[in-house]
Amino acid sequence: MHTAKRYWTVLPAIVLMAVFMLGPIIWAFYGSLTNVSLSGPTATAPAFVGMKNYSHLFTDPSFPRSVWLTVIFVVVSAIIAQNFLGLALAVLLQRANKIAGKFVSTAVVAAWVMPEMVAGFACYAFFSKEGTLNQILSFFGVHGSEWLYLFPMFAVILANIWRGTAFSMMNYQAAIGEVDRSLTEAAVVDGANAWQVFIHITVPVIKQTIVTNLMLITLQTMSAFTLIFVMTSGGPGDKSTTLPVFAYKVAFKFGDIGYGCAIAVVMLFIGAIFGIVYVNALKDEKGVTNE
Amino acid sequence: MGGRPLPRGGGNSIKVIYQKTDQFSQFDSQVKRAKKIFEKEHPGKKVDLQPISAQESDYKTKLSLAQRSPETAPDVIVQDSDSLQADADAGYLYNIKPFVDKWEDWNKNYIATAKKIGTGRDGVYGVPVDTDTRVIWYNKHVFEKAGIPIPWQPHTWQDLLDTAATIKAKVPGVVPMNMFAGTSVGEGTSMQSFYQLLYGTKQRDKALMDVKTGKWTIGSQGFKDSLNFLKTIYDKGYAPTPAQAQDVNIGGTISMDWLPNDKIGFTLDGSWLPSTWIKGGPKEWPDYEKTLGVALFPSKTGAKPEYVTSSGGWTLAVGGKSKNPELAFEFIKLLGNKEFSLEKDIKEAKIAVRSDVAKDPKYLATNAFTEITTKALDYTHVRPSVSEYPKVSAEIQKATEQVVTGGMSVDEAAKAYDQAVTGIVGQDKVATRE
Repeated sequence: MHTAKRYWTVLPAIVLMAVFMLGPIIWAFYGSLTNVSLSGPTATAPAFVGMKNYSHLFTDPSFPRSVWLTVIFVVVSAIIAQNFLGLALAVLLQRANKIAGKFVSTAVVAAWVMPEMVAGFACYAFFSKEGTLNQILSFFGVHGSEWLYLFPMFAVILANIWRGTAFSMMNYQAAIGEVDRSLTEAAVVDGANAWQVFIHITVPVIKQTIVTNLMLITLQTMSAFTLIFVMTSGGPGDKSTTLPVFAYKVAFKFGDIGYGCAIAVVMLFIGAIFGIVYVNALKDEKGVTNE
Repeated sequence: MGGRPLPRGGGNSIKVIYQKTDQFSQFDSQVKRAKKIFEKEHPGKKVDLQPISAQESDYKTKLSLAQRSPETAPDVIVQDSDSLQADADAGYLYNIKPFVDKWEDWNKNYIATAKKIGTGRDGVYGVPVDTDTRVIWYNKHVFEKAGIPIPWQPHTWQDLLDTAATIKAKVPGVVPMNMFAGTSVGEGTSMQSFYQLLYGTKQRDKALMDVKTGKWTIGSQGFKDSLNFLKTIYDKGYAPTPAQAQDVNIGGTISMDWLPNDKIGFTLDGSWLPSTWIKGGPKEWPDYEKTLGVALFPSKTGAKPEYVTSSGGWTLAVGGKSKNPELAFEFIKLLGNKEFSLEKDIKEAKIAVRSDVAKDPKYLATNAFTEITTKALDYTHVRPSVSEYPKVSAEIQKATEQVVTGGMSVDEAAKAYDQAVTGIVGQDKVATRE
């Protein structure tokens, strides 16, 4: 009886998810088994091609390259930088002078509340040849570089760190705020220094948040498109073509929608694997803290 | 295949889809004036204008998506000629051959080579509105220093190499010549550089694909010779360094810096270059008409036809799902008339597709080079506009990058291209031509 009622209340959400999430996923899966294209004879009369798009994917040299770029992008910009920087900021802000803290957190959050498009343009303007970075460097007598051309991954990774750190920071701020003061105070009385308190008290208590945060930023970063597309369009060549940009290029630049769908389906699977790993980690952690 | 036959008549309004950006604002003003005239001439009929504010590739994507469904499909489309056949194959475009056959202007005033831009495998799918050509732009100051007689017109590929060698020897510090190569310049490498070479080799119009049979050419000596020419100019230091050549902005660097500042001998590029230098352009250069000269690009051995160029451009097309194709074509006739055509060509520095416009003194006065860039149209080639084309073109760009950076030999790159093309279009759609 109770459970039935519970389902009633989430019905609208389920319907919305089915229409706007499940629908496109099913269509993408179906599309990936056909040769449907944007134009040409197969645009309106596509044929069923079975697993051809997938077998093509695993022989296409662009695919492993773009998987590798995606891994670098996710690991460096999200799992390492956003995560640790966010955590460090959250800890430091807790102890910081109020005015300085307000200033820093506003600056960090400002990058995050900006629409992705605007953030992308801001980063483009910063890194481009005549951009802010090179102007600052030339002020100090340093000759800048063509960052977006010579170091495209470096530029988009820095941009994503700048834009995304606020999300981790806010998550961790909330979690650290919930850490029971009596625990930390007791540790201090026992002679623990700040680092020991952080490692032995704060981290174990906020572990759940860490895992949740990691899951969210991994999935967000894996599907990041606008930021990269606005800054480099995946170029030069395909030097910053991560999976979402690759799928876009294939489907809309080359008009091969079926193949683009296959890439999207593979991305969905990779995301799902990450999701399962994190959700399992979360379950284990729950066991520990409940004790 | 091709445009579908659809029930005639029905509907008192036609929907017109076109691109509208800062650069394309000119057309927006024309189409609005045309709407007023058309609605006056055809009482009871309505023209529904639907501009799409987007850059070229996004415009085309949005258009293709709109054409998939009869509810959103337009009646009149401003269509890029580079996807004409693909869109005809998809049933997005109506075969207007019966209409143009009866149109006096088409038979009398449209330039024959320009008609190719709107012609597909099995019909006519668009009325060209403007076009462009590719020519050699040379700097007279550099040529004078090198002691090369002006006016200059090379007749073979060897002439180009000799001229570059002279500049290299006599004018140090100047880049002798440029022809785009590599993937960073994208379609510019294919269209502004490689095709001028390829279409000047033995297979000529069939060097890339035989439009009649729809079969792509592989294994040709002309393809290897074209790659080899690019390799030569890069290896011998006639062209920019490979690092400069792989810069996405190389085209802009040449037109806005090297040409105006006498830092390059000659470059092969589009007929639209003067729009960079005119008043209000991105790099105003009052003396460009005095400093620059224009030459046509020669075929490999000077064999007839002696010169080579290629053309793209936009067309006006009738939607394949249009319920009112006759009325839609009436609107196209109006937009394609001499007045509109002349105004558009002058304001956008485009090449005329109508002979009456091409002869008009006002058109010829656009800039000092209009006459020769228009004459180039006699020697033009049009890209295959089938759906596989963008992928094949990307393979050409890769092949040029491999040979100029030394990643592959000419034979290896040509072989890799043949394999890639066969993979893209299928075994039954390639033909080995010497």
